[in-house]
This record gives sequence, structure tokens and C-alpha cells, in this order.
Amino acid sequence: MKFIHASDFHLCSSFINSAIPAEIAEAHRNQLWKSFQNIIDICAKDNIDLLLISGDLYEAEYAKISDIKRIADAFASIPETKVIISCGNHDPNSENSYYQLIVFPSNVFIFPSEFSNINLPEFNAAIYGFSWSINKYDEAPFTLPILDKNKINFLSLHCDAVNRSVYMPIKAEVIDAAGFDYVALGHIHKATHLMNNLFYCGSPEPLDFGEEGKHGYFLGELNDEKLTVKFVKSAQREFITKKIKLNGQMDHNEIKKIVLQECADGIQNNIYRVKFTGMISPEVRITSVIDDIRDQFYCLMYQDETLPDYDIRKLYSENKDNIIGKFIESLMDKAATDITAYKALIAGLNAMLQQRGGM
Amino acid sequence: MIIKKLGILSFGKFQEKNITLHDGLNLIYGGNEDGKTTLHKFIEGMFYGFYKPYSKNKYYTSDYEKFVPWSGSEYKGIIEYDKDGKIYRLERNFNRINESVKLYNNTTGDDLTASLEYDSAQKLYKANKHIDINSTLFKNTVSIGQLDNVTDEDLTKEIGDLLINTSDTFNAQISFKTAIENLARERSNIGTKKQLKSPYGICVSKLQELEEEKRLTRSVIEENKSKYSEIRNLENQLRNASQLKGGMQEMRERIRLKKMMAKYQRYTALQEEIEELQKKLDKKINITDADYDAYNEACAKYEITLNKVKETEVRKAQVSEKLFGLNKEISQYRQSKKETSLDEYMQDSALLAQRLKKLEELKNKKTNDEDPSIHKKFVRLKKFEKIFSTIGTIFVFLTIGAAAAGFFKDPKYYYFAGGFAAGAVLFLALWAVMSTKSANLEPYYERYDTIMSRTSNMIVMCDLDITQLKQKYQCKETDDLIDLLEHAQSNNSKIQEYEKQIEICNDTLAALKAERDHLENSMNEYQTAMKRILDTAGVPSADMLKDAVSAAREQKVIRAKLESAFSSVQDILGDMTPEALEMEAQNALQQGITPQNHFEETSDDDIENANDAILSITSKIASLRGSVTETENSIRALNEIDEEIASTQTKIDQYEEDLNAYDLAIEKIEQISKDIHGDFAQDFNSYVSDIIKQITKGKYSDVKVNDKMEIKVVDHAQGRLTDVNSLSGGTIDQLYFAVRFAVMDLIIKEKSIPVFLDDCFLQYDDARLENILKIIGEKAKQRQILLFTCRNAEKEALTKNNIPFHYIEL
Repeated sequence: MKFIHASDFHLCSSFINSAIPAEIAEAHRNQLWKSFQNIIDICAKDNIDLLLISGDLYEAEYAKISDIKRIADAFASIPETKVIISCGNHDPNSENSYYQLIVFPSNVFIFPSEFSNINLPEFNAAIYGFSWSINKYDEAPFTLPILDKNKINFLSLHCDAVNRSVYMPIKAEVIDAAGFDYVALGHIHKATHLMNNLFYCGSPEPLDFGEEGKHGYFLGELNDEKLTVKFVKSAQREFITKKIKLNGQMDHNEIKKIVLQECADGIQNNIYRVKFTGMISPEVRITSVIDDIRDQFYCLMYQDETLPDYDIRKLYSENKDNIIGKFIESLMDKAATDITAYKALIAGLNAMLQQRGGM
Repeated sequence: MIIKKLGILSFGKFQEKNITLHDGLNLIYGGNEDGKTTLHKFIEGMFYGFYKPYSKNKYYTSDYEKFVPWSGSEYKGIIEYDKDGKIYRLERNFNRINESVKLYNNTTGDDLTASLEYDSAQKLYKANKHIDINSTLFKNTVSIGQLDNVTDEDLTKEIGDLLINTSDTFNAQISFKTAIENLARERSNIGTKKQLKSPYGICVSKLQELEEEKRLTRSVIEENKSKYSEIRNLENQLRNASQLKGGMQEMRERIRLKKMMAKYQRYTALQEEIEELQKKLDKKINITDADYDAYNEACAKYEITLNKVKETEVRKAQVSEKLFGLNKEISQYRQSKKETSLDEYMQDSALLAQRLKKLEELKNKKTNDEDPSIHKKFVRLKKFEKIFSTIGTIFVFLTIGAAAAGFFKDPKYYYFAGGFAAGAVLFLALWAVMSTKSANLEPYYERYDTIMSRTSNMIVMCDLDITQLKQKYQCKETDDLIDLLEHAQSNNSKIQEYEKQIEICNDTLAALKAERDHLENSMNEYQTAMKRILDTAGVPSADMLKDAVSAAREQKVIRAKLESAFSSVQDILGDMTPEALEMEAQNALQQGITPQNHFEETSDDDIENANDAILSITSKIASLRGSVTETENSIRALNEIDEEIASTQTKIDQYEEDLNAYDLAIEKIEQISKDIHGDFAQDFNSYVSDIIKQITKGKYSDVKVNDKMEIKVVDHAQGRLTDVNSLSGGTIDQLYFAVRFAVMDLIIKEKSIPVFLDDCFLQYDDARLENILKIIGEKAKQRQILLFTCRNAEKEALTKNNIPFHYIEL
């Protein structure tokens, strides 16, 4: 028996957190669909018997009926593959959810929101699972069953087996102790072999900055009760964050060069976000640097967390008795903790010091 | 502090240049290119270097490059100054590669560098320890550049600006007003919520639109979900309706199978009957009713034809008899017949009649046309004509003869000649008359003569034809000829009549013969046909044929039955094959259905109703699905909208944060400026007031700086506040300097810092120069003043006004 374990497709997701530009967001949404279709195609091509989807197949908040029909049609195109879905927090199998509204083809089985199992006698296998029906579970609303050891037992579950969170925290050891032959987990976007038979397959494509590392799905095979599992990388793009620390002596071209050096990997394919820190010369504008090289990137974003190259302490000590000193004094304490005060300090100093032809 | 000595080792245009300075006023004279400004900058550079202030990193100002020495690689100098009775020596290497600052006690030679403050940005000691003000303050207070203003108004403005700038910041050039303006401009670049075209306003209204779009999109998605929920219900209904219809169809199927079973039973019965009938048809009879009818018909026709032959023979005999009689008759007429044919008689008879008729006509015509008088008259005229011409001619000859005689013989003859001539004239005249008359009558006469001759000739011709006919028929008289010709004609017509009858009889005989031949042929054909029928039937005689026909008729009836049976089978089967029917029957048998079973009939209406219900549900489902697709196509994806909302919200947050920051900065600056003004205004007012009182010799004794940093002067004579503008030019100059010095005195702790005046009064006329130098002379009593100039006017004015100074020429 050959099976694929995939999860966290997050079809129809928005990319609010990463704040990527609209056209890149749209392209990446299409990429999610492509990754999904790619797995469907592999099921058809490689005669995969079982496709386990451990939650967050789509985002219920954003999906339209046409999207769900597209998913259902894709499953209908692989009638020989049994598709077993255990829903997650983004696609709960709740009342009036799309899982309830849309008719899925007969080769698809969607777990109800109570722990249950489906037997596959042709493979002497039983697949256990649970579908979310609400958005949060402080703890698992079920206990793991005692298994029939004469069968091959699978578990497909969307849960947090890493942290004590509100996303159905279950200790990996507890699951492991139940003695499943393969545990298909979903929720963590990075592919992880947790322990023994516990696998987080991660999302087929990264969905945000910070989701660096490998993305794809697990391809498993069961021969004479012997299980082999291998990870298949499928991600077409990466979200990459680079931190670049500037100093006040770097000019436009130098910064440009550093950015290009740092972002050399897959510049035409990956989604880059550069975080600038440190001091910046008043003559340099980060926006101009970015505009200058943006065309060379598939997507280049930046965060400017630099500080103007003012030596505020010196400025203060030398102007203690005049308006500059008094102005610094009036905001200094607050600026340490309050961003508005800090911005006001810089804006005020700029406004006053610019009169002397800049710094 | 008193600067004692400037030692320029290498700076700008100067190399190894030493200048000694003194307490009080130093007037430093130099031509335009002699380096006054370089010297001024050298002093500034020695104390401060050429760096941008307040940077965390070291940046050089443009002055650094400007004063790189013209020759050599050295870039350094020294200053010696007196501070509180101690002489210090400050050394500076400007060169950025190995720049350094050193301070020594010039008396003891102790290195005091370590006592200087270290500047971590410049990575150098700060040399301004004894000046104790920063470079900016130095440049903007104690160092005064050329005053290029020439008008009172400009000066007034500069004073105003200076006051504003210095009073609120203690630091000329930084204006809290300008700072606030800058901040306000930044703020207005963002705009407000209500400024719909400002970046902030645009974002706010865009956000509202997006929220509205999101709300609508959500409601569409929710509506679509409920539509799909309805679709699920309808699909259940459809299943039920389909089941109902399925039940009806099943019942119909049973009924159908029952019918099939019945049909099959009928079919098998018919098949048995057909088998029976077919056995009876085993004996082969090759005769049909049609054949028998044909035999009988041929037989009848043969008899009829035979009778007709007999009739023909009778008629033939009758015609032959008549022919014989006719031949006999005609031979009688033929005996009297001459050689001449009837036609010839007919022609001759016609010719005769025609000639006789013509002759008659001609004779009548001749009688009518005959006119003997015209002939007679013409003949008489011709006769007279001949006579008169002859007599005339004779007279002519007589005349000639007489004339000749008269001529030749005796003229008497002329009388004769005359007489003869008269006679000739008379007769020739008569001849001419006759000749004319006969010529007139001649055509009439000739036509008459021609007609008469032609008629006579035609009469002769007719007579000749008649005579020839008489000779042909040997008749003497015309009447005999007429009779003869009439008789001959009558005979001939009789003969012709008989001949015609004989011909008819002969034709009839021929026709009868032909008919007989035809009838005999027909009889042969009938006989052949009859024989063929007998042969086909295989019987020798007509009687046996009759028996065979009876047998054939019987078989025909059987066949008809058979045919009917076949037809019934066909009706039963319809489009089905027997095998299919048998299968259906077996199917029915398997299901235990017999024709005797009773099943409730499902009417077409029931099925139609079920179909209608299914159709109605299906179309509702299709319509709902269509509506879902349509509405989904009409909206944007929610994720896109959310992303746009998030990015717009981020912008708004950014704008709001910036606006708050600008507001806060403005608020703080305003507050500080107010505080400073409060602290400063009183001292400043009293200080400047003292000076103005002194300058104006009591005319103005009060100066007020209001919170807008405007200077007002109290005019005691008029008892009111006056603008600076209303003061005289010289007064404003003095006031300006008073303010400069007031600022220095008020804000700089070190009261003895030297003051540098660099060609300040280039634009001043003598009166204004003297006026200002008086003030400067006063100030020089309190501190060292370095006055750089490029002209002699200052020296002259100082000398003239007995103001003490040290003169140094570059």
C-alpha cells in the first residue's frame, strides 16, 4: 500500500501577516493550488492508495463554493485513491461548513467531529482520526483508543504536539504510547519527524516569513507490514528574511551591494524581506536603494528599523541650555519606551537641525 | 581670553606666518586676496577643526578641503592665548591622515592635552576648552561675517530674525518657528481624515470602502452557503422524487412483462396453427385462378373469333356477286366508247363554249366601236393637204422662175413673181392649216384603226379554233359538234361511276381477306395459350383443369389463413425478434408473472407528474447553482480584500503615528520656546534697553521683545511703542550690534571670548561706520575684538574719533 501524508495547504489563504504585495499574494495563492494539484497528479500517476490530509486543507474564512468544488473535482479525478481528511482549525467540519454543504466524491472520507475510525479491509488497515468543529481546543476532546494490533493502524490528526497552546495540545509521547503504525499530524507548517512514527508533514508551500526550512509531504509505503517513509520536497518558493545592519558611513551603492550579496539565493523565485537595522546616514534613503534593485527580484520587501545617525547624548550634552537640549530632555525618557515619542524626538531634531543644512 | 599669537605653519595660502595680537581692538588690514577670511577660518579651525557637529561618525565640512595648503603636505598651525593670566599654546595638525590636537602651558611647557575632553566621534581631543562654547555657537555669535545689507529695511529684518533666532534658542540660525513650520509641513503632507485628497484621507476613505466591500462579500458568501444548504435539501427531494418515479416505472415494467407473457402465449399458439396449415400445402398445384380464368377467356375468345371468320366468309361472297354485276354493266358502256377520253371531251367542250362566247362578244364590240366618219374625215384632210402642198410648191417654182426672169430678163416679171408669190403664200398657208388639222386628228385616227384591226383579227382566231374542233369531231355544223360533245360526256361519267363501285368492292374484298387472316392468327394464339395453360397445370384436358383449379382454390384459402396467422405473429412481435419476445417471456416467468396476474396501472399522468416534479427540482437546483456561480464571479476574493484592508490599515497606523509624533514635537517645541522666552525676555529687554538709551541719548529707553519675538521700541516723546523700522539707519546698525553683544553677554558664560568681525562694514558709508565703530570701541574695553578689513576707512574713522586700536597689516 502506498500513501501520501499532506496537510496545511491553506488554499485560499490571505497573506496579511507577511504583507506581500497584492500581485505576489495572488501568485502565491495560485502556487498553493498548484502544489495541491501536484499531489493529486502524483496520486494518479503513482497509484497512491491513500491520501491522508491532516487538516487546514483550505481556509474557511476565505474559501468560496467554487474553490471547494474545485477541491472536490480534484478528488473525483483520483477515484482509485482513498482520500481521508481530518479537519483542522482553519477548515473545521462544523455545521454549515463547506464539508457539510458540498457533496464530495465517494472516494473521500471526512472524519466527523468525534474521534472515530474507518476500516480499509483490502489493506487490513484502520485509520483513526478527528475533525475540528470549533476554532480552539484547550485539550484533546477524546482519549486515544486501544488498538487492534492485528491491523495496520493509522492516526490522522490536526493538533499541537509541540507546544502547550489552544490548538489541541497533546504530548507527542502520549500519542506515541498509543502504538499507531503511522501518525499523520498537521498544524505545524515545517516538516518534522517528531519521534518514532509521529510525523508533521508541514505545508507543501511556505505561507509566511519565518516558515523557512523544508516544505512538502511524506510518501509512505507498507510492504509486508514493513513501513518506509520518505519526505518529498515540493515547495516552489521560499519566504526569506535577511537582517542587514547598516552604519552611518555606508552610502547608497554600498547598501545596494550588501543587499544583493545577502539575497543571492533564488533572487528571481523567492520572496525576500530585508530588515535594515543600525544607523543610517541622513543622505541615504532606503526606499531609493530598494527601488534601484527591486526589478532584479521576484519579490523584495523591506523593513526600515534604522536610526538616524544622531548622537543624541552628545547633542544633549552640548545643548543642555538651549532649545535642542530642552527638546531632547522633554522627550528623552518617554522615547525609550514609546515609539510616538521617539518619532517625535527624531522629527523635531530633524526639523531643527535641517535648518543648519543637515548634519 | 586674549589671543596673543597666531602661528600658521601651513594653512590655505599661508606658510610660516606669525601674527601677534593684542588686548582691545585689533584692526587687521589686508587687500582682497591677502587672506583675511583664511585667517579668520584658521582661528575657528584651530579651536574646532572642520567637522560636522552632532554626528556619531566623523564627517568633514567643506571648509576642510577649502583650506588645504596650496603647497606642501603639512596642514597645521598653533595659537597662543592668555586665559586668566596663564599663557597656553594650542597646536593642531589638520591633516586627516595624522590629525592631532595638543595643548601646552606655554610658560612651563607642560603638556595639558590629557586634560582636554575626548570626542569619540572625531576620535580627537576637543580644543575649545577655554572658549567653552560649541562650534555652532562660536560661528553664530562671536564670529560675525560681512554684513552685506545696505538698506534700513534689510537691516531691520536681520535684527528681527536675529532676535527671534537667538532669543528662542540661544543659538542663531535655529528658529523654533521654522522648526514648527517644517513639522507642520510634514504633517500637512500626510493630511487629515477629512482631507479626502490627502494621503491619510485617501487611505481612510479607501478603508471604509474596503470594509463595506468585505461586508458585502461576506454576505454574498453566507447567502451562497444558504443557497447550497437549500440545494442539499432539493437534492434530497430529488432523490425521493426519483424513487417515486422508479417505483412507478417498476410497476410499469411488471405490466409490460405481463403483456409480454400474454403476447408470447398467443405467439406460440399461432406458430402451431401455422405448422398445421403448412402441412396442407405440401401438395404442389401449379394452377392459379388467374390461369384458369385465362384458359376460359382464351376458350371464349376462340369461339367468338371462329364466328367472326364465318361472318367474313358470308360477306366476301356477297361482295363478289356485286362485283360481277358491275363488271357486266360497265362493259356495255365501254363498247360505244371512242378513243377520246372523257377529259378530252370535257376540255374540248369547254373550249368550244368559251370560243363561241368570245366570238359573240367580239362581234358585238366591233359593231359598237365602228365609226366610219372619222375615217372619212381623216382621208379627206390628207387629200386636201396633198393638193394644197402641190399647188403651193408650183407657185414657189413659178415665183422663182418669174423672179429669175425679172432679174435676168424683164423686171415686169417681178409682178408676176409677186402674183405667184401671193398664190404660193395662199396655198402654203392652206397646206399648213390642213397639215395642222390632220396632225391633230392623226393620233385619234391611228388608235381607232388599231382597235378595229385587233378585233377583226381576234374574230378570225376564234373562228379558226371552232373550225379545227369541227374537223376533229367531223362535224359540219357547230350545233352538231355541241350535241356530240354533250353525249360523249354523259357516257363517260357513267363508266367512271361503275369503276368507282368496282374499286370499292375490290377494296372490301381485300379488307375481308385481311380480317380473316387476322382472325385466324388470333385463333392460333388462343389455342397456343390454352395449350400452355394445360401444359403448365400438367393436365391433358379442360375438365381435368377444372379439378385442379378447385384444389388450387382450396390451397388459396389455406394460404390466406396462413397469411393472416403470419400477420398476427407480426402484429404480436412488432419490432421485436421472436428470440427477444421469448427472453422477455422467460424474464416474466422468472419473476413469476403470468397473464393472469393483476397489477395496478400507472397512468402516463402519474409518470408525467413525477417527471415534472423531478424537472422542477432539477431546474431549481440549476438555478441556485447558476446564481451561486454568478454571485461568486461578481465579487472579489475575500482574501484579497482582507490583504488590502491590512495594508491600508498599516498605512493609516503609520500616518497616525507620524501625525502624533509631529503633534508631540510641535507641542514640545512650542512649550520650550515659551519657557525660554519667559526666562530670557526680561534680561534681554533690560540689557538692550540700556544700550539703546545710551545710543539714542535717552530718546528711546525701552525695548520690548514680545512673545512673537518682535522688537518694539518705546518712544517716550510720543508715549507709544514703535517698530524697529521707524528708527534711523544709524540707530538700527547700533541696535543690531547691541543685540549681538547682548546675546553674547547673556548666553555665553565666558564673557571674555574674543569677537571676530570679518569685513562687516564694507557696505557702510562714513557716517554709519563712525557710528558703529563708537560702539565697537566701547565693547573693546571689555574684550578682545579682531576687526578684519580691506580698506582704510575703518582706520581713519577710528583715528578721527580717537578710538584706541592696534593696527596689523597682512
